[in-house]
Amino acid sequence: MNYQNNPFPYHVGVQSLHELANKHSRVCIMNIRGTESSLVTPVSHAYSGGNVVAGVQYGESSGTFETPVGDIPVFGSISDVIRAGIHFDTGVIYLPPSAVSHAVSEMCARNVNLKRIVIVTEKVSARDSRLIRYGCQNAKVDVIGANTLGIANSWDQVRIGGALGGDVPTQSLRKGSVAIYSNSGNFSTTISEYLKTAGFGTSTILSSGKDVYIHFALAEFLYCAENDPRTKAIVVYVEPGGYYEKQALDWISEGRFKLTKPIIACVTGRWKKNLTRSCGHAGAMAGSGDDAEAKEIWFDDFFGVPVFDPERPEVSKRGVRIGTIQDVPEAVTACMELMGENPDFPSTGDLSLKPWFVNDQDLTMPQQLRMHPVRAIAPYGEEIEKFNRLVGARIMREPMRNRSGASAIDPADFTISLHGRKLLDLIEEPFGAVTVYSVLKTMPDAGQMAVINPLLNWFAARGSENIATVARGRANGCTPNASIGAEVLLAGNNPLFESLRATSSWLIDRFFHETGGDLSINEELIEKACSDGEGFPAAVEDPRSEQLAEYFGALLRTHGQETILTRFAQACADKRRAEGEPVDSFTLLVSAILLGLAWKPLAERRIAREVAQDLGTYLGLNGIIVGVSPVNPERNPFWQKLHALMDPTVLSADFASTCFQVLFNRVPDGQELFTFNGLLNLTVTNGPGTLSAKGAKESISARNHIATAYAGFLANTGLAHGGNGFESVSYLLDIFSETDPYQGTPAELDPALKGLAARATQDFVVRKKKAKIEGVTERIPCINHPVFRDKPVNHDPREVFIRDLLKGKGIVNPFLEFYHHLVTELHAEGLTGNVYCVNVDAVIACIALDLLWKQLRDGEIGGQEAQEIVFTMFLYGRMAGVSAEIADHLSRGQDLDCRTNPGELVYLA
Amino acid sequence: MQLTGLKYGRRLLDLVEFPVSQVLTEDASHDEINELIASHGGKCIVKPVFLGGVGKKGKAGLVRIVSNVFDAMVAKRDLFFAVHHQGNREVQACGVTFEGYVASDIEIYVSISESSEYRMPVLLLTTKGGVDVEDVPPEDKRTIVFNPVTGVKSFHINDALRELKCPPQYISSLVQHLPKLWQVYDNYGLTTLELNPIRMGKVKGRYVPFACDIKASFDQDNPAWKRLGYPEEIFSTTITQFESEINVLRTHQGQSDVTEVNPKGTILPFIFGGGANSAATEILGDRAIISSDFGGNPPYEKIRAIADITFKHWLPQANVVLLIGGRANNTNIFTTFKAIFDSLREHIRLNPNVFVVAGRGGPMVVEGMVYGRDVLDGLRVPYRFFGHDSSMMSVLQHSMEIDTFFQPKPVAMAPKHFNVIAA
Repeated sequence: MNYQNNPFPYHVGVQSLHELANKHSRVCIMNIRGTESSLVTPVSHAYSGGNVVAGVQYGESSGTFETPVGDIPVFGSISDVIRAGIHFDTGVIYLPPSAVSHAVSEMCARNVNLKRIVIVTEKVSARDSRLIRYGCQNAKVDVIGANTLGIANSWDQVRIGGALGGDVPTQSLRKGSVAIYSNSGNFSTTISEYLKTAGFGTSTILSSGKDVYIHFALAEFLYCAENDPRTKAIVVYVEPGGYYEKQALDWISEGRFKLTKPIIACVTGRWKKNLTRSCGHAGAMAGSGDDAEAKEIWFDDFFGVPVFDPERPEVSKRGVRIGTIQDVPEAVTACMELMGENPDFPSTGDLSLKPWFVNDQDLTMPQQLRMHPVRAIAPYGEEIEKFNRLVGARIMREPMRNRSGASAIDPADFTISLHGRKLLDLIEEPFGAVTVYSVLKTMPDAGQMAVINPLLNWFAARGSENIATVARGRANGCTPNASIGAEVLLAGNNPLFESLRATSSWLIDRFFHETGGDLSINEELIEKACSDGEGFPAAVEDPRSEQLAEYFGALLRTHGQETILTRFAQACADKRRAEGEPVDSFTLLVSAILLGLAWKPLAERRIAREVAQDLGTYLGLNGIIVGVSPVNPERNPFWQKLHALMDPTVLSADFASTCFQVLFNRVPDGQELFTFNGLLNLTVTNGPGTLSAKGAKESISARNHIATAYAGFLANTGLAHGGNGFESVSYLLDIFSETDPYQGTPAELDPALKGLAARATQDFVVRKKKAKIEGVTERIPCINHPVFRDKPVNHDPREVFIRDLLKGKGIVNPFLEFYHHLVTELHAEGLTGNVYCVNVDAVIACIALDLLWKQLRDGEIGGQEAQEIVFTMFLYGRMAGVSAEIADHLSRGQDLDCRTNPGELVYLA
Repeated sequence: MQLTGLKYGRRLLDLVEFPVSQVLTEDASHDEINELIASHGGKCIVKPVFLGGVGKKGKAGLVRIVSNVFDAMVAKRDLFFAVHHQGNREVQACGVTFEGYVASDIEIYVSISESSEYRMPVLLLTTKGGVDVEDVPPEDKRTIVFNPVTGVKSFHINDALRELKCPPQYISSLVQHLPKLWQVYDNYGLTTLELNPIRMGKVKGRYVPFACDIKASFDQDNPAWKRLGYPEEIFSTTITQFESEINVLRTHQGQSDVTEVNPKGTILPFIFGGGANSAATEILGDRAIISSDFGGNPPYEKIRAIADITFKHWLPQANVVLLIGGRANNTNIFTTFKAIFDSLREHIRLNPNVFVVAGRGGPMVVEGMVYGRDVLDGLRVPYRFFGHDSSMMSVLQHSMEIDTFFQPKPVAMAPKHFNVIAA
């Protein structure tokens, strides 16, 4: 080919874009094992048909670098490469910035056949760049970069340098007639993607870099484009700073070299003129005459037409400037039409807004901003579909030691939250609802609770079956956590849990994608699912199954809680029974009910699929804890009825009421149920560091069954933990040993409590003095707090909240009121520097004592039983919180992630 | 990184014994100022001290020539905290200098910088200095292109001065002193060094060029400037607290360039790539809180640290968190999205009512978007993710429309408050 005479006042070693990178290029890569090269070189090498002939890795005398198309030999220096008889004309540098100029020197000095160097490295200093320029000009070597992504030739399928075209270059780099010159590596690929929407591919793409020095600049590129027969138009993307573009356009205008092909130029960065240091590209810092506006004028003057308007496309033979790169397809089309050129291939897609993922959650957007997901272009659409077929949340696994994705402590006020809701806000929710919320992160509504309460009670009834284990433990002096824990541990992965899990999984596979998360009844779908019983989980029929299925079926109908799942469960059971197939209609229905509760959080990807499938296991284990926990089962008629389950109506009670009756052997009045329910909710968790939850999480991290993890929680409770408020109960019993706060009128109560507080204070003075002599510390339980302690009068906001809540319901807890008098007295006597707060542990103790007082007073229960009841109350509350932590850990934790780092272990002699 | 003025600039010139007019700082005593005035023909110049690169002080009336201590003190009072506007940037002085007045019938301008035209360092020289060099006609200035290895030589200066018809009595001393500037420029990582004006004073009967003002720009990517021992705070006006926290993360593996655009903005953009940075910041305008370039395939730890700092500073005020870039070549989208969404999950309590918009393509883009989707669904934060088959500019426009929807408006029209539940 006859080229124009090289017009440059400096060395430019190529005449055509094709020469920059082609199938004959032979490449040597410096720092081939560097982080970026390790990722990019194998792809480039494979795409380019194996054009990397050698790599250099300092400190390595021999070796190979693996790629999909064969190994690349690695040497310790360029000299070694040359000595090995390997010839290359192109060097690529991936070294850190300070090493770049040295590597350039090495390449120029050691390889006389070197034609060009591509410097991928960012942040090469201006000083090194000018030395590189000087050295390479003398050595007659072209330099691309620094901070370049290199060169790509879509015709020869060759790329040299960085990752132009990404990890699958064949997708972006489609053969065509447009050359791209871009200050931005990313835009090099993005523009080639945009071009495809108008049916244009690329000839050569050059990412020039945008350092202060651009060694292979626009003038050289345009000259080479003119000489390149493959190229019919040139897209140019530039930013402020430097006169490279002006020089190129001036030289064309002056006739220094010829350009007959149109340029489509985009200049961005008007805002950068206010910068005093670079952001993004180092060289994109403008002086007074080379800012974005100046560059726009250079191009506009050259083209002779105003900036491209897609509505009224006007271009000249010299080209046109575009406002943004999204106008590339239309502007190139307009220029090509003017030149009488056709697109390279049929257009692929368009650039309109096509969201791949959309969720406005509960936000109501105005009509014009509403969007629906659009299937992504190939191959991404299929990939997304594959992910969408996965049900529920997918959470990255990470170490969970001392961490929780379920509970949190607000550093501002030390309040605890579970799944983002503060426990104080949960207090008034039904405890049964909280046990479900703990697992599913979604609070059931009142309608759902009409079915959930009986279901939880049924789990308790079912859980009570093996109370003999607990009786044996109690006889052997076990604490409640131990005896209950033994039964929980033995539950393992019992047939009920396994059946509920397997059935839930089967239902998910049948219905989740079919319904799209909608639980509305769809008879056609039910019919279809009924006729396809493939993989239906094996079932063992239960003699009570029919009766219970009927009872719950009626509940569902009465309370409008039927779903496609429950209706299917009933229809399927009928069908299988009619066909003589084994079916446990009640287990099937329970699975359908539980899965219905999990459906929304599952569809919203708030919980993992496994959590939804395990809901029956969590609630079943809670049922065991409640079912086996009565202190005197043989004297508890409510429990007897529940245990026998002759009449399903025993299941109709509120779950908190069931818990109360199992423990206290009496029906709670309204106030009692309110405070008991609140107390359970208050003790659900103590945040990510909760000791009981740690037991469960450590067990889970060892990959145990959920039941074993529950046993871990129970094993981690004890007289010091879970006897929450024990100390306080004991203290209060002493104080009130001769005073019954429930005797007398309300008017008499306050002075009496004040008197008790005064006496308790004086008693404390004596005990404190004595303790001082003995060198020990004397303290009163449940007052003061490490955070709420610096004001003249201090309050624990959690205690204040509950006290106000109780007062709002007309409930006065005399023990709590006593505590408030006590902290005031202690300060008045000078025993405390300010008025201490009454902390939240006092609330728990005071409520427990309030509930137990009458039975204690009347001798219905003794101290030992009271202790057990208080302890078991704590276990009830905590079982809900622990289920949340276990579900969280199973969803996102790793095996053995709760181990202590060996470096933190200490041996004590 | 820039500095202006002789308070700090003279250290550069002292390194090569380039003469500088006498400079006293704001703590100078009356006696010292009196002496300065007396030894400089009865005049001294009072200038405000600005940190960073601040020019055109004279045009703004912020340079005073005084002839007695009283007037010097008045000028000090007026200029000590003077406010100066450059473009849309407002800067405030933090002191003054008292500089000896050098009587001269000529003012020289000289600068060294990198030339994109010649792709070499150049020295620009005129004897009609004291004004913006752009205002000097071409025939009155000369550009000297020289070998960057050997530096600018005396003969270059001599030739240029003669062409400019510099009065001959000044040529010898200028030829002697001006080449020294290359040593400063080359050895301490400068990208611009400008003395304007140099005034020709007389010492022991010989003319000496006294630098009366200086402007210098340093290359962030060349650590040589650290050898000068300047206190970090002299560059502090150009770096905000947020920027300085991010700058600590600056390494060659992955970009971490940020600039505060509008501390009252409502769109918080994580921009990937220099091109996207330029284009996105332009379109977002004042809506953008920051401009950033977090491209270059940053590792998880780096982008996570960046996101932590960014959310800590700006999430509370953001309506829209925007992740924007073209189709990445090398940046792993899963890694960057995971780091940002992990961080968002940790910081969401600072502002649960945020909308997330992402426009991105590249390696593992689907995995990155799926991860973001799962996190945001868990947080109940609304979002839209666009691939590279949507125009980046349209995604930017769309995020601005969403931001507009969130702007304060009458209560009845305000967006419904989300019921956010943390994962």
